[in-house]
Amino acid sequence: MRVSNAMMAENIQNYLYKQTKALLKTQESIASGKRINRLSDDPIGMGQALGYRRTISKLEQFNENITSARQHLDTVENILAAVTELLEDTKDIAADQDPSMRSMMADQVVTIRDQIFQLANSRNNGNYLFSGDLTDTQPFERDTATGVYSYEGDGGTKDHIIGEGLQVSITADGSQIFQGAGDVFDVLNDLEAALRADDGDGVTDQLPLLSEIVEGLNGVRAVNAGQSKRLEATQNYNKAFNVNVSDLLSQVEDTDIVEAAINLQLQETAYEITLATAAKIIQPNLMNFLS
Amino acid sequence: MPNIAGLLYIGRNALVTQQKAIDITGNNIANVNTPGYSRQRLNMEQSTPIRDLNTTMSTGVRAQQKIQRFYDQFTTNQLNSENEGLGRWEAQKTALGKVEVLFDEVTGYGLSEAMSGYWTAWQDLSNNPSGHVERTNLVSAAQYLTSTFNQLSGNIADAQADIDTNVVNIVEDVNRLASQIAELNTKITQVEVTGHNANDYRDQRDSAIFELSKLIDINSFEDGDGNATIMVGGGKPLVEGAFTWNLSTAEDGGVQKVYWEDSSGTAHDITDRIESGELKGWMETRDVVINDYMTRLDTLAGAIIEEVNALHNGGFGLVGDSQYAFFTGTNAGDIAVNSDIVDDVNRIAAAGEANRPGDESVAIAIANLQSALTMSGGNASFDDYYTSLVGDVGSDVQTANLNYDHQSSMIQHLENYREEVSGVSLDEEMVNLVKFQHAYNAAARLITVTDEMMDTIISIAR
Repeated sequence: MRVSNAMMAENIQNYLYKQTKALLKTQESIASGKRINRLSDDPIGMGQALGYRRTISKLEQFNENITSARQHLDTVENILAAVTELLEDTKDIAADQDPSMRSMMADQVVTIRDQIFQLANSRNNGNYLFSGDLTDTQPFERDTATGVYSYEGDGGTKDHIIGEGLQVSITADGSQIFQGAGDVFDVLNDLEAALRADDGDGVTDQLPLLSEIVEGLNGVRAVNAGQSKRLEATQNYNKAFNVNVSDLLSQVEDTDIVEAAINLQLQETAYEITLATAAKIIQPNLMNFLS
Repeated sequence: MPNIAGLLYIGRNALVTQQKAIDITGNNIANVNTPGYSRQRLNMEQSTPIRDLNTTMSTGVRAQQKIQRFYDQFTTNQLNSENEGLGRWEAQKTALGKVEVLFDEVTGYGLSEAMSGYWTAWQDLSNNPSGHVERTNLVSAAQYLTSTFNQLSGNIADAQADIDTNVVNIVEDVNRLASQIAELNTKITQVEVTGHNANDYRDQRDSAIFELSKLIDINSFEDGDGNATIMVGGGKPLVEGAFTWNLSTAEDGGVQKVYWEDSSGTAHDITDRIESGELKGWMETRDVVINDYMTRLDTLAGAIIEEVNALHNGGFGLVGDSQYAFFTGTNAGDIAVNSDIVDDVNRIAAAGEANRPGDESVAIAIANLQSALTMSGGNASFDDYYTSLVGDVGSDVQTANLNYDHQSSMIQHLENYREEVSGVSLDEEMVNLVKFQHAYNAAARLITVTDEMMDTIISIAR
């Protein structure tokens, strides 16, 4: 085979070009910390990375939704707990242990009724909690003439997306909660009336009704507690899953620094050897030896 | 009896011939780095012998009239055809490399991120359907999404327009090379008709054809007179002897197409008949590859507009019972957030019924579109669809790079073959130089000896 000077020069240039290209790529992956710096570096890996990033963003958003739902449930629970406590106090009154105190007790019942009225009209973030979807409408109104309480909201629920295709519906129907198992306001009105009328039987008649209402409230609270538990579990699961996916994402798109460093070393050696041999090959020529 | 003057004649011929050989060696050395140069050699042969009485006397050396040019037609043809492939993939690689960076997904600021942000904003709104902050955020996220779509679409269109400029330039280059080749055809036939070899013109013509083959796929052959005929676009002549035909470009359907003009000046569209070379590479990228990206991007934007609007048009905002489309436009280029909604974020419909500020059903339904299988006939979500587009862009670039690398190494191997035959080796030339110099010196010595012999003869006569 004949070897021409141009051939030698061309080949050396080509090899040097290839090696510097490989060096540059390794250097880039080390400097950027990323294995994929262009879509074409690893199209499949890039697709996976996009999927993982999306999963992470979804999980984070689901957890935000869950936090919002749990905060809502906690607020509802606090209110219903307070209402339950007030009703327990009312049950003591309805037991009618001291008939001489009935008129004072009647005043206390009024206070309790106003407190429950206020609690039922609670707002969270400026939105009424117990008026269904009509969050800008006060759920309970009192007719000052008749003293009758009416529900102004609707049957809507507070829904949250907590996972892929998963939703949680938190009840927000005030009429179900406060008037479902017996109308708390009617009972309190009746109790007040019986106390003022000094009607002992009328007073004690309210006791079983109050118990029913408390039980109803406890039922709602139990459902809420169950939901809260489920939300917490989902949130923890999402957090753990997020860690796993982040790990996968890192494996796909981050540079394995040890591997990259070894590659760099190998490529550097190859490059230097090529330079050294090139310098030896292209230097001499017959003219060096002709006198 | 041999003639003493004949000896002088031998010496003179030897001097002239060796000098000519040194001349050609010098030319080889001088052109060691000239691209496309084929080394030359002076072929020597014995002069016609003289029959003198009963002996035959040799009469020395003479140079053949034709100076030999070392080259291999087969390798040259192969180089030309591989060069067409190199041009094609180089163009694709360059064009797609520019498009690849437009999909800015590696850094996480691409369309994928913008879409995620948009759906997330709907979920935030579903948590607090009457919240003003959530509504404002949703509009910003939607505007970021639409502007990302618009920008990507615009940049891809710009890339297509850039390609058109390249196509026009390449066609100009093709015409320039065609007239160069035709001119060289004339020169070569003029020289060779006299019985010489037109070595330098042939080198130049080979270089021009090689350059041309990178631009467009050609079919070339040489006739008996030494004229190269070049055909393009499936048998249309480009060069024939001293004649050339023009290629031209003209806009058709928004893109530059390539035409071949016949002798009456009528233009014939040969765009689809160009099979390789840079022209093919650029036009294929423009008309097939990038066009496909654009179509898919438009499909994606169109589907998002349609699906979101279908739900949003049925929902209600915070005030009154007017219903609005969320997006306007039909494709990636003109998708925009409805200005009615930008003007008043309370018009965003989160509720399924009028005047239900706490109703988040529509917001949830729209947020759920993120994972809904709305694309590819109910088999893919928006995200899946976009991910497969991004994957295809990446693997198209990868394919172009691989093919380009392959073609480059093919060319390198063939260039090595070509060099093996045609390339100048300085060592070889140095050996030849010394060889011819010695012969020259000896021939000169021959003349001196003859001169001395003549002196001797003359002194006898005196």
